[in-house]
Amino acid sequence: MLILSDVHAYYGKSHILEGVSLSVGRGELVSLLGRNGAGKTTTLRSIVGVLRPASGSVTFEGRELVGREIYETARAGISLVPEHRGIFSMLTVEENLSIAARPGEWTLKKIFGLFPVLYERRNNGGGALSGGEQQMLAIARGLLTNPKMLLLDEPTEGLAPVIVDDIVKVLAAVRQTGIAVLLVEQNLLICEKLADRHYVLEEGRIVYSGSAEDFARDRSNVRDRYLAI
Amino acid sequence: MLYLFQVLNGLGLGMIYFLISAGLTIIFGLLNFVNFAHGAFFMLGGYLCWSLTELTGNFWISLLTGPPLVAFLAWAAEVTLIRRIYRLPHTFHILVTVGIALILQETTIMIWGPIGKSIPVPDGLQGVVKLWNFTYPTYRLFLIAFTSLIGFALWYLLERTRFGGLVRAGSESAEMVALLGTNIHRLFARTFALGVGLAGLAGTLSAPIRGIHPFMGPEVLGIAFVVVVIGGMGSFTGALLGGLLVGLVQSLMSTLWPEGASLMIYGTMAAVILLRPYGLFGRA
Amino acid sequence: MNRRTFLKTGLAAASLLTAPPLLRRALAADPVTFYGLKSMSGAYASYGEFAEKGSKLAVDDYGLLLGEKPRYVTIDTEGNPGRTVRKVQEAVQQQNARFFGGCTLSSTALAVGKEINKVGGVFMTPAGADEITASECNKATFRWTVPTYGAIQETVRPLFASNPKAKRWYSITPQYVFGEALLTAAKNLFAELGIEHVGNSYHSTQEQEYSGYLTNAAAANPDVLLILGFGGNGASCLRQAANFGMKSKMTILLAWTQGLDWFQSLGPDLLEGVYLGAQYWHQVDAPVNNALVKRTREVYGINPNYPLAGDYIITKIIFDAAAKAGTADGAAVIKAMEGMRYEGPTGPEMIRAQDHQVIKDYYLLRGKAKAAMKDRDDLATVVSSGKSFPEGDQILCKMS
Repeated sequence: MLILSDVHAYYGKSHILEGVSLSVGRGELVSLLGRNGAGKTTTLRSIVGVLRPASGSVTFEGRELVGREIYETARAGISLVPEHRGIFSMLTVEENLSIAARPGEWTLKKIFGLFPVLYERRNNGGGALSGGEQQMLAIARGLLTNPKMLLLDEPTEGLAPVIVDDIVKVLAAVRQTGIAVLLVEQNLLICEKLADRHYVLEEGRIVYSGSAEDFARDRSNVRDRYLAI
Repeated sequence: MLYLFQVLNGLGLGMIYFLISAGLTIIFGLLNFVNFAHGAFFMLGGYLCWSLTELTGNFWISLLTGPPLVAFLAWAAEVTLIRRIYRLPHTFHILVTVGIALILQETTIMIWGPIGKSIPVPDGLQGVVKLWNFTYPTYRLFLIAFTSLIGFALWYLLERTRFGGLVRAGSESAEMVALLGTNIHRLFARTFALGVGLAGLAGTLSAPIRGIHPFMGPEVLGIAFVVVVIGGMGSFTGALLGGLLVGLVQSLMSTLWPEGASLMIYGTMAAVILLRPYGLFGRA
Repeated sequence: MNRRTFLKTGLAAASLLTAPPLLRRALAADPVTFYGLKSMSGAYASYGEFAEKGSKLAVDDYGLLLGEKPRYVTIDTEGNPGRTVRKVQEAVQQQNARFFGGCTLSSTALAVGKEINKVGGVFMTPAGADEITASECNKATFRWTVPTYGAIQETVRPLFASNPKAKRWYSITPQYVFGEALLTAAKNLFAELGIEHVGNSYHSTQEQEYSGYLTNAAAANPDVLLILGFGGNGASCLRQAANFGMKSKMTILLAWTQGLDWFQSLGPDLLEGVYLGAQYWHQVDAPVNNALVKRTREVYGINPNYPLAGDYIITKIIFDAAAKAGTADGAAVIKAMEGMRYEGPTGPEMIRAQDHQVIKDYYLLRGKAKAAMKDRDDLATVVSSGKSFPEGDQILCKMS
């Protein structure tokens, strides 16, 4: 569904992505692991068009995304839940959700069903939510756009373990609905619980690619080489 | 009794200032764009009102068609020129929009001549209303009522519609709004047109009271910026309260200390900024 | 005679025959050039446009001056005194300019007058500030316009005379030197006539919003509202006074207006019944004015207004003075202008030697109802006119 082919990306003169190639198939949940500064967020930004790759291609359902407007990519069915969640603090929870709504099976009602805490807080300002609630809101909002694919940038970062569990449950439920997911994470355990396949990114290059089974076998190796701090 | 009168004057004046500044602050809020041509579009609103009234003999038709025309011109400017310079620093915004303002000014002189013009108060609103032993112009009362209506409509647009939600969200992060699938180019263009259209509307409404002349742009621009600074850049409520505050100060001062009426506007701005550096409702 | 002598004689004869035209051209002076200082651009461009027309008309219609057709050069003041002074200096240095006329702003006129005085040139202006022929007078500067004393005398006095019960007057004054001068002249006259000055509101020259001042004025219950602002100030103030229904409650007098072009921008609905002071009015029946009106209509298709008439007569006066003096020498022309009597657009006019102020009529006009207008420009009628100037030791000009 989503194919990155030899993508190079720069921030100014810094060569961040040095030929990234990966793919996410229909209905798959794929994780992208790597240390800080490896280029995970940059990869996601290059997919949606916030950053334009210098070379390489990004295709989604066969159509080239490089060079297209951010909103065109979003409308093509890719929804990014960014690293800092991007909640609109001056809008209420409900407003945050409703401006994102696009036609499809995910409705406000269904979202409130999956995220009861958001229903309770629906009239609160976006800025008044806790970290975990904001993350829920960000994911809920991404779903409300009725995407074909969700990109998640470190959704559990900085959250308490209890909240993390909630999020994992939510992501598992999302996966059941058949939406493809590209999950960027540093938390190994979460990826192992949820993902079908794993990639590891190091210094702008994919250094490991494998299925859940492969990864289980190579686990300690991969962890020590690429993910240890 | 005199003070009540001045308060009414201040309200009317303040509402006009609010209309102009609301547009300016919405444009700054969402587009992060400093529009120094705002006053010139105010002037254009007044001149189109004159021409349309001359053409049709009906002020109401001008009121209905003039401001949308100004909004359309603004939309055209945004699509061709303004959108190319968003990413540049504010100083460039100022340069370009001052240029646009000058072009508009000189074009106005070329088309309508350098002498000012008057527009008669529309039939039905001429004359005065008797309040106790004072009289108050009917048109000014209409102005207060009409602009309040527009203010309410604006509030509704911003707070209760999807478009308004997108504008408010976009003023926090245009990128995030784009990530949610909104065509931000269209959003920006429409917002710019709306903001400038409000200035045009203010120009149309105030023309029967103030007349029109080609140099009214810069005069109004100064007050608009003071109001926006007082109210807080990007805040709709700020534009309303700031506008009313400035209008009231100007009116009351003309009774208490007429020479200093203009000065006190800037004095108020200084006082507000000292207490609240980002304005009454501004954000850091 | 032999051949050589014949040739020499022939050559000598031929040169003698051709000599006079060559000699005449060599001895002829350069044509008199008039430098018009007009605000062609900037905020006063509307004034400059008409002033330019006036000067050009005077130059084009003038026959020969000292044997040559006079020339005309426009200098754009841009409404900026500093820039104008520089341009004047350049003209003086590079083109030997000596004859100047115009200037819309008093600040420009004062600055320029000093410059021209340095080189012994001649400068005549329609600018309004009293100082031009009072404390700041000099040999080179002449002024056509009636200053504040006359403007007040020729409006307040006749209005009060026709309406002696109107004892309560409220004034609205722009707060700067010129406004103050008008107000002082008014107060002095109020004292003389026994008029009760029930109040005054000052406003800044940038003022747009007069509702506060008008409310104060209405509260004082005056018989006459004296508006001393002019141009944009006067227009806004009058417009808003009309909005407030004040026209039906009291008489309104604007002591200093620009005349026809200003009236046109306001229209008869606003002007009807309002008293207006003016320096010039195109309907005045005087020989030079009648000719000017006819000519302006022929050439420009409009009626002359104050800027046009003012610069027209200024240009003509300087040319006539040069003709009278028989030379383009600055000092001689100045001498010819001092005491000169002539027919002007307001009738008989005279240049007073002592302060170089033209003694001429100032008009009190009254706005006409739309239904009474015979043509587009028939916006007012003359109610009274006359000449009022400081006399004797009231004259503040001391020319060295």
